Amino acid sequence: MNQPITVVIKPTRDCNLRCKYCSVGDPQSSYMTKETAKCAIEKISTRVPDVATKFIWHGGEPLLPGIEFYQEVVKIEKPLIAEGYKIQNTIQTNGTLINPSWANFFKENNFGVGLSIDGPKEVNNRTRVFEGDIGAFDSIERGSKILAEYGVKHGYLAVISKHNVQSIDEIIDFMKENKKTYKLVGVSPIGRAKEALEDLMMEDGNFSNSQLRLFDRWLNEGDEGQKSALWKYMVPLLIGKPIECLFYKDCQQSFIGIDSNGDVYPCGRFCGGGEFLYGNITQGSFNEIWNHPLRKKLTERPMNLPKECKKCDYGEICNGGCPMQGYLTGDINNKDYNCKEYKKIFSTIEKKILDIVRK
Amino acid sequence: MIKLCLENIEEERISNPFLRSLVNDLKTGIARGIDPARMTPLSAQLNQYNDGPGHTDHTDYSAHQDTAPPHGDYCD
Repeated sequence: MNQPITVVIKPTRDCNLRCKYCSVGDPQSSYMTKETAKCAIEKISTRVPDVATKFIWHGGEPLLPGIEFYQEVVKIEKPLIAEGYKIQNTIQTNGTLINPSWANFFKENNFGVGLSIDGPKEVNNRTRVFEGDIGAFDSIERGSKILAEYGVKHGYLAVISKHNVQSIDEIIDFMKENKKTYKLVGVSPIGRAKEALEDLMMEDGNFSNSQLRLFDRWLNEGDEGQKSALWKYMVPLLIGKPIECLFYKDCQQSFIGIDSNGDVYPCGRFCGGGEFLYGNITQGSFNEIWNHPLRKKLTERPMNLPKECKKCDYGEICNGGCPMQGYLTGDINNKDYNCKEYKKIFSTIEKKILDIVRK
Repeated sequence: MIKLCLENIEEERISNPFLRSLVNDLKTGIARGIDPARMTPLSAQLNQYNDGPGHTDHTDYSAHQDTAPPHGDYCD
């Protein structure tokens, strides 16, 4: 509790898109009330003085509740910030609803903005679509341009699935042309994606190959965006410890998820699933949630990982990967289903760096 | 065990300019007391501190000062 926390908070799980791989897939979800938002912001931000809280407004599509919702959020936060509490807001949006009012709001209130886009038009529109399979690229690009016009810096996030993994060079080219920092995230077999696993889940080796292709291109091109997408692999290999939630030894010291109805989960990825429900932010103290037995169980995961994780060369920078991605294989203490991919990425990048530095 | 170790890497021996620059940014940041686990690519260059963890579902690499950890499901 005494260190910075990132809160993945879902003002709704509803969305105006129907992406084929959506990890949420709940268009009937209701919107978070201002009262629930107030509870979440006040209870978490003020848990201890002088320790930062970052809210990642996530979804669903987090712009759906409207700009008035976020105006209220800022209004709730202002007196807390004036008292000295450190609060930061970021938002991960599909970008299709962005207009000048939103861009102005983000700028004025110092929101960090991430836009979800899967590459150039033809590649993006294979999976990121409106109802009726209508590609969303033009709407996303329009949103990105408006943000740029208003001086709102934003990064891109692309989901890699069977639909686009073979188009990795086109995706890398697109990001480079747009001069964006970005992340490439592997598809998760949850939410709507569960309905089309055969179409979406990549064959063994394809995800790691896409990341390694990116690494080779960075070595040749040195593009800043490429470096940002590789940061979570390269830096841990150099400093000997993980830098992103996916590989944290105990992500539960730094992350928590809040669903639109105020239910509290280990992370945004768990929202909506029953087993790891810690409670509701509108009831009881944050201390009670923090000390919930299920949270304790999750914090013990590093000790309960399979023996092979403890023996693995990359165990100290991987730590069994994402708990959710272990849980999906049957038990929270299982290793991440992407284990083989990560191991190949880490070992290949390490070997290539060693070859360069030993020359 | 990981065979790489930042402090043992001699920058002048790194032939690749982009890798050399990365190693330099990290070493400079560490020398100034910045936890490299809290650096973003841009903050490393600017020798700024990223104050909290990141998440996989969010792109989190802008120059602004992060107050908390990066998450993979977010990217700005």
